[in-house]
Amino acid sequence: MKTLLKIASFSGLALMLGSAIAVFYGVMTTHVYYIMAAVGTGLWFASVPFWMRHRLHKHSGAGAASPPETKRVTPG
Amino acid sequence: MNPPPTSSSIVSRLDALYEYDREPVKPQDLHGWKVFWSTYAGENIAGTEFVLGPLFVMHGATASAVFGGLAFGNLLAVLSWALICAPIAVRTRVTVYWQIRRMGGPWLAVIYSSLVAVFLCLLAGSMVGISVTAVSLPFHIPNPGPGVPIPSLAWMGLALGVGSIIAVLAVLGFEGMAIFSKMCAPWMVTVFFAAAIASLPRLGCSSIASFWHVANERIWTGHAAPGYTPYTFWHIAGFAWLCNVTYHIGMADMTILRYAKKWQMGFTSSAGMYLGHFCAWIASGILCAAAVGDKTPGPIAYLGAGFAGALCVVIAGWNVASPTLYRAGLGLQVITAGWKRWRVTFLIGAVVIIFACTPAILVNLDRIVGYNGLFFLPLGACIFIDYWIFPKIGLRPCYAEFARLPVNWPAAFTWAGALLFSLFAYGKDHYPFIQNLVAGRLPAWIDGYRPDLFYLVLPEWMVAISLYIVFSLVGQKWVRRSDLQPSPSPAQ
Repeated sequence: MKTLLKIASFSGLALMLGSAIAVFYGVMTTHVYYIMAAVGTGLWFASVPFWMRHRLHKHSGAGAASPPETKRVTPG
Repeated sequence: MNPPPTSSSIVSRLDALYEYDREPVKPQDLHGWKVFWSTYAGENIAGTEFVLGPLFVMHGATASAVFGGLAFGNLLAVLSWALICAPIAVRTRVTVYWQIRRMGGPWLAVIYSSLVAVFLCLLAGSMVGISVTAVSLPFHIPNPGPGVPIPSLAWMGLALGVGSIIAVLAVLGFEGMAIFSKMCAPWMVTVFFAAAIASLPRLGCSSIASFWHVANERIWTGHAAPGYTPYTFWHIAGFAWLCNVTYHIGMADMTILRYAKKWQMGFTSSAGMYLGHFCAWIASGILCAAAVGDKTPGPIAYLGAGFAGALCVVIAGWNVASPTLYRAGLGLQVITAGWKRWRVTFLIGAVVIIFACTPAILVNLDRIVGYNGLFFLPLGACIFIDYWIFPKIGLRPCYAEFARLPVNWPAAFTWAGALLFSLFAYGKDHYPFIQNLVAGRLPAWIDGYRPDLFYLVLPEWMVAISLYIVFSLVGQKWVRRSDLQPSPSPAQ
């Protein structure tokens, strides 16, 4: 199940990138690309919490033993 | 001799806040390469990338200056992480806060923590502002244009709404928010790439072979926009190095890298630098050029990837603004006695909203980031010298801890002195009040030295290490060693 979810997540990203490349080579209109990008975004956010949340809980960044540091705050 | 500094309530509160971080990391808590690759790759793409990349376009950098400067400057940053920060982090295994406390004394740590919080407020303000530029799109509220000092009332209303939501999220659930932001990282990287690739045909580029020509003719043309000073290779390289200087030469990433099994893991910072500060800055520069010079993050991202692009700007701003507010709240809680966390965070939220409604912050974000780096760099230089050089020249490292000093004055004077050096070196040619003060009074060799803000990393670092060695030689010789009793180690 987790493998399927991962495939769905990365398919979303591939859809976004693939449609952008299609626009670059002139085989897709910008309007269709916008829709594909939105669909890819939906796929990513609909599937990623089910497999990544567990992994992030397991070792939430390098600061696992340090709650305030679970997210670095960098200016760029 | 001074009394033990822990009697102070502010210091006690700051110590309590970092209580968990006080002990060196245990061997079973160390992490391997994978964690650091993902940490750095995922956490160097944020809303500011949508602002910093376009600034190079507006400042008229050439394509070779941008590509070469970013490659070189980011290499310097990676080497600084790997060769300066990581070796000390894996040997001491303590946070930067604790190392500053041991070296400079608890009061210096309080000042450091409070000033970091102030900078975080500025950063969070810019992030809220970036998010609002995308949220404003469906409401057809115009974003403030260049040179506009105050946005419209409707835009400020949106900033109030977005800032309030971010502040509530910062109070409610930091951990979940941090996990969500990590989930967003691969998606945000993809949006940046996709948006840039899809925008290239608007600039007349429809093959890989024509990219370099288009890059020179349409994107990084070498002509600065009105009101912007021209940027060269050295500006770009200097900025790429300076951008995160607080974290590498300034040693703030000791807090992260203390969990590394080996110092070589400092090289994993290259993932963040070359994805976030190379690819993402180049991508956002392309988006800016495709939007005919519009450098407002929301509209350029919408143009590049439609709804996904606008959402990326909102999330990229929000997922840094919330933890920033949280961190600033932690930092300032120590000086707001008896205040609840939510009260401090909402107060900071109000300040952040005011910053978000100040368009000048986004216009000058590169300079603000530069000042921040130079501000915290000297303490990192002190840590470096304190650890590596002091034992070799007969000086005692971590002197404040050894002598139980509330403030180790050599460290404090070094911090102030190195900062004043940079302020003077840059300000004598750029700030009228300093220009008037020194007009006609400087020797030719000083007058002829005209560094940009972005060129000051190395000079300030060298001034800081020189001052700290000299001040410490004087300071430690004033105190007879026989009078001093070593204090217990922080782990005890």
